[in-house]
Amino acid sequence: MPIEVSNLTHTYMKGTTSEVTAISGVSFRIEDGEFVGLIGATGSGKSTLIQHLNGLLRPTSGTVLVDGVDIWSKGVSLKQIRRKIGLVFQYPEQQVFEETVYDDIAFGPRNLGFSQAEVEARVEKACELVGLDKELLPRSPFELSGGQVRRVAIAGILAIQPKVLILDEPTAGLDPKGRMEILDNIKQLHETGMTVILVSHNMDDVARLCERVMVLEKGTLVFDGPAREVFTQREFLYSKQLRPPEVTLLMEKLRQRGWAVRQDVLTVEEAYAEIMKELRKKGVAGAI
Amino acid sequence: MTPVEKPCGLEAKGVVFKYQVDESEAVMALAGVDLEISQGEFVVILGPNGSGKSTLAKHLNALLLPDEGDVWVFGMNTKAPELTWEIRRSAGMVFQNPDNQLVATVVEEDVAFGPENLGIEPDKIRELVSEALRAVGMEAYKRHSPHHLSGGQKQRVAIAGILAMKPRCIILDEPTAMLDPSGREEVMKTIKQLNQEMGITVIHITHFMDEALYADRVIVMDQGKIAMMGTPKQVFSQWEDISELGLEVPPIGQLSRRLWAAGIDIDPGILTVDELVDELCRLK
Repeated sequence: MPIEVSNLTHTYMKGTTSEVTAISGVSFRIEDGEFVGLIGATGSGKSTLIQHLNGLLRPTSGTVLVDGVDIWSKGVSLKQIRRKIGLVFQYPEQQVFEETVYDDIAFGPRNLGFSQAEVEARVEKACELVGLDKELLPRSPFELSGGQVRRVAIAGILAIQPKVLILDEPTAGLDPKGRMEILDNIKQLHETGMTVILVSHNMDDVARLCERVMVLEKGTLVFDGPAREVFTQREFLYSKQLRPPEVTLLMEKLRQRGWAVRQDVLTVEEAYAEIMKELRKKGVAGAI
Repeated sequence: MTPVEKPCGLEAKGVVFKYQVDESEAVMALAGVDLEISQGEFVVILGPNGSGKSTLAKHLNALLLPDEGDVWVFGMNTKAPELTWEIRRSAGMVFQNPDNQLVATVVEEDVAFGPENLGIEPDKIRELVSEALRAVGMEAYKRHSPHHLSGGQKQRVAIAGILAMKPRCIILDEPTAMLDPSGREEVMKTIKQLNQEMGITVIHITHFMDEALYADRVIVMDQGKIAMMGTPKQVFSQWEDISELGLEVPPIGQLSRRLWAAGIDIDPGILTVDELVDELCRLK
């Protein structure tokens, strides 16, 4: 179910003196199975934009088409749209409220009116997908660690079995292990065919995971293209309050010192391979 | 008898702290912490979620008191109730969410909040506020509303609010967790500068491994105890322990180590881009 956004503008408090245009004239199309990173400075409009994709916010002007249908046209059920496009908010643990982990994950499917057996099956599947130990299901979510609660919140959305998963800063505030585990889960979900949109301030994570990157600045889409292309544009990134991954910066500096290495390197593995190749050419790593 | 005065920077000795979960169950958040921090040191505390980092930090400005052991802040024992306010003035704390810390509608009023509470006279307050805003590079925004600032700017205003009380130490509990890359760099550079130019002791808690590189000394907490301690290089060179504790070596450190392991003649402990570039160019 492709998502197509055309000329989307969103103005908060329109017609008042506090009027703020958060999104202005944004257009893009996301195909099935893509893994898109959405980056930009605090206040650039990322959270506002994603809330349009499942109809939580209504565009001031412009359209959002899901499967070719304008989600705000007559006869479209927004409830159906939200079943297909799941949105995990920032700090979702603040929205965990049920007495047990099970009830929290089951909230969505129950609301959709599924039978008890179906709800149970979905909760179980969602736990598997996020790597949540089933022994935690009868516990109170408030007894869990930060990483576990975050997973409960994501599982709650996955239990709705959406086709598209949008995550707003899913790893903020987590320790490195918790962060890696959640990102691995997301990667696996994408590998099973789910469309993923990841909003993040962590450039290393976006560079490693996303094929396509969109950059927002003051509500305008200023870049939409391959991750390799955007992360090699250091000056552009700095001007948008962003940074390239450290390994990409390393490659640029090596090139300035006369090394014939590729600059569009995004991970430690790629950097390692590229440096070794060059060292062999120079004869330094000849014997290896 | 616990001595009230003890001359040094900050010191924790045998600190044990338990959180009462319910009537029958308590969780040991600090399980015997011994730590000395010198005046002017820049210390970064790392550790998994729930390892006791924040609990330790809250002991260092008397927001929490130890169940066992003692904490001295610039010679003042945190258990002495008459010293609490002087301890909190000397060791101010900045938290994660900038929006929860700013209370006034104008930046300079926000920064003046602390000194006003201390009962300092208005002329002196104005001077302290200007000085503090200058130190964090936010003087141009003194008449702005904090709500329209970026995340990094808000955190700098929060830091200025602490600075206006002339502290000797600033304790920051994940101040960069919610910031964009530029805001993160802004905050880190600001606190490094305060440390270097004003000699302010910095205790910085974070989940970002690269921020540990700003430190003189890195402390890794695990299950309420200090698990590792040393310079960034010393700590990250113990990569097996680091990964066992659920942390990770910063990317350039991982790369240096892999190159070294492949037989390339470089220092495996390198952690920064510039150092690695120099080291690799030396090989030619």
